[in-house]
Amino acid sequence: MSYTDFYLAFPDKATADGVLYTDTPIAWDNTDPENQVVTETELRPNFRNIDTLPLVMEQEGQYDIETGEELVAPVYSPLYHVNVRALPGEDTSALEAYAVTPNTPARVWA
Amino acid sequence: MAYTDNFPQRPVFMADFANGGRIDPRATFSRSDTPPTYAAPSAVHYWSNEKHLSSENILLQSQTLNTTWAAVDIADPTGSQTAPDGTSTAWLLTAQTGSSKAPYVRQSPTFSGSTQYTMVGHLKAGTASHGYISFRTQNGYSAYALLDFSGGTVSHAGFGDFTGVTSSVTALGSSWFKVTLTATTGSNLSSSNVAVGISDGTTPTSAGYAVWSASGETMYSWGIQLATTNAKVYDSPTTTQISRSYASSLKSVATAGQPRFEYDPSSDGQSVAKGILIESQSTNLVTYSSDITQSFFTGFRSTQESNVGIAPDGTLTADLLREDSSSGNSHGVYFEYASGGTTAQTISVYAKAAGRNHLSFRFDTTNGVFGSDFVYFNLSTGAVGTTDSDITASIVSCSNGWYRCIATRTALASANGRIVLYLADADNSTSYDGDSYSGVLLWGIQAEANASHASSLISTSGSTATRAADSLSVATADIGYTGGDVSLVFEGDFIGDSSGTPHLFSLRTSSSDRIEAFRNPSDDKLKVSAKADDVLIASATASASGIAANTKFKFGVSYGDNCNSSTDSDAGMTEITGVVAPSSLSHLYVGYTGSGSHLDGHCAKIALYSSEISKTNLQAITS
Repeated sequence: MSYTDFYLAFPDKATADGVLYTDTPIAWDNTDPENQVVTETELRPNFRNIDTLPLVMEQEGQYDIETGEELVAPVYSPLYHVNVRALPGEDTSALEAYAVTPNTPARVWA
Repeated sequence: MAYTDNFPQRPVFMADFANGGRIDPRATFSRSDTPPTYAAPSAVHYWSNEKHLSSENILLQSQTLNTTWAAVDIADPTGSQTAPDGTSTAWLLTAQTGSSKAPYVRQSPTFSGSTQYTMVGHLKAGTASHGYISFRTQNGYSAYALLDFSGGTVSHAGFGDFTGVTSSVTALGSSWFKVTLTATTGSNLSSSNVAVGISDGTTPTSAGYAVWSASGETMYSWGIQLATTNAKVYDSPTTTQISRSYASSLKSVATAGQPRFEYDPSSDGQSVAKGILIESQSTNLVTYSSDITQSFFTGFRSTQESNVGIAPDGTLTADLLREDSSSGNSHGVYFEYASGGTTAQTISVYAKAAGRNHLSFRFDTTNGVFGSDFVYFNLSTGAVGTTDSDITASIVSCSNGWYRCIATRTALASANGRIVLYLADADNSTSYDGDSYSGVLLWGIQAEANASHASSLISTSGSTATRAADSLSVATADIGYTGGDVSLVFEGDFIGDSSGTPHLFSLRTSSSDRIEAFRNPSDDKLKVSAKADDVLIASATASASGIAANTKFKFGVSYGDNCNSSTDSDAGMTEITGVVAPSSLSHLYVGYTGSGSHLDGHCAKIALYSSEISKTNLQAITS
């Protein structure tokens, strides 16, 4: 099976969730059979393999070896990073606007 | 429809993963792995039923140099000298006086041709300026490593058909050196010899020993090893028998998406088949899982030696964490990783004693991620020692002295957390006098955020890496069942305690029509749940007690006029009357729901019957 790996950088989590997941009703209030009311939803993934990264460090901090005290604060990317390994048949058109090509990926697929 | 009492009924689908070791051709298994290559093996691992040579010493009396060893131009060796490990098991060798002397001790093991050997010897200067180790397969076919005590340097050479000769020297404490010599033998094997000798700087000849004018020079020696494992640690002391130990192999998958049929490494590694491993997606946040010499790790009062021991996968990739000579202090190495949230964090390390029998993890206070909590592991007995209350810990035997040490603690902040690995001289003791020799072999270091158990090893080399989830399913149309009365029997285990709802199976068309069994995270009891036309038709606890991790269990559930379930752990029986099974169920997902809630464990066997099974028969099947 061939896969397509996407390294994605979204401006924020909400944007990422909007692209990567579909909000799906999972429970309804059937009190009025003619007007069922959705009472619960869940985010269902649009892709089988989604890997959300923690903060990606752009510049490492410096620490005192003995005490652990922070000498220079690390610098983190402000973006929201997600890796997707898309399977054949999965529609990836919505991903391409957020795809990046890192020189050294912070995380790869095993 | 009334159930039949004709027992045993035949299942329409039966997968015996533990004994069969294969996927039914009607089923589909996948895992989105990166295809492995020869240069880059897969990072995804499993416990196979294969074994590898884990440690070896084909020399006898490795610490008793006046027995088996023959002394040439040396006075009787003097024992009870202080060895690198602090014991009184080293020997003093004294050269006889005279010209054309070749002072050395030797023995004659049996060599194989075209085989790579590594010899390890520990040497310390007395009055001699040089010492050497050597081995030969025949006069004129040999290799040596010559140590200059004053400079702490080593030179080497090979003769005849010996190839690939290399050497190394490591300065230990108290003026001891560890010298290694590696060479590949040829085809001339008629007169073998292994030698440990004294020299004035004269290099050994092709006969395997140095000839020079001696006048009573002295040298200490201890711990001599010769092995085809090519280990560069002295891990196999011998007396009257050679040492040769095999261990279970933790293999990486050979092809992308290969199903992983696992065996228990703590037994003989071959007779206890656990079934197919079904795991959720997980990430190893350690960027170099098996190389503590990388800058990702920071050592303190210790030395990190790369690729000196045989790892659980059978390769020479285990690293040695060795203490320095600091007294009354701690010795170890630490690393940091992004906790990613205030969730359970699980650290796991494969470790083997190499002079120190205890290893400790500390969840450090750096960046406020943890609260300075310790846990201790005994690598001699395979027991978890003193454990701070915020930690849950376990230790798993991986054979031949290797253990996987596992500890879980909840992070207090989302930031870079620090994990410190300490050598320990006893339980609950990380502060002691180092001897510059003792340590622990480490390999397969893994940090998993948002995980309350250690998943299978995800090896890394430069980046954190994510293993995709396992998926195993079968379309019910392919097995002759598409809905209505049904019974399912499951055998397997959970790897660890889980905060999610790990599913044994899900028989479903959609969330509106489904039959499922899972473990309830609040009490670890099994639960059954079923919906038909989006109406909940069954929901009950199916075991009287919780299912412990790494404990094989049997579970059965039956739907027809009633819902019955049974487990072997407590002979429990749940019965719900007036249940009509869903009429349309398109897929059987094994070990997950079709989209998540993975088993994180093994499915040894699963069977689907297209009929209701009576309570009595269900209990019989699961007993």
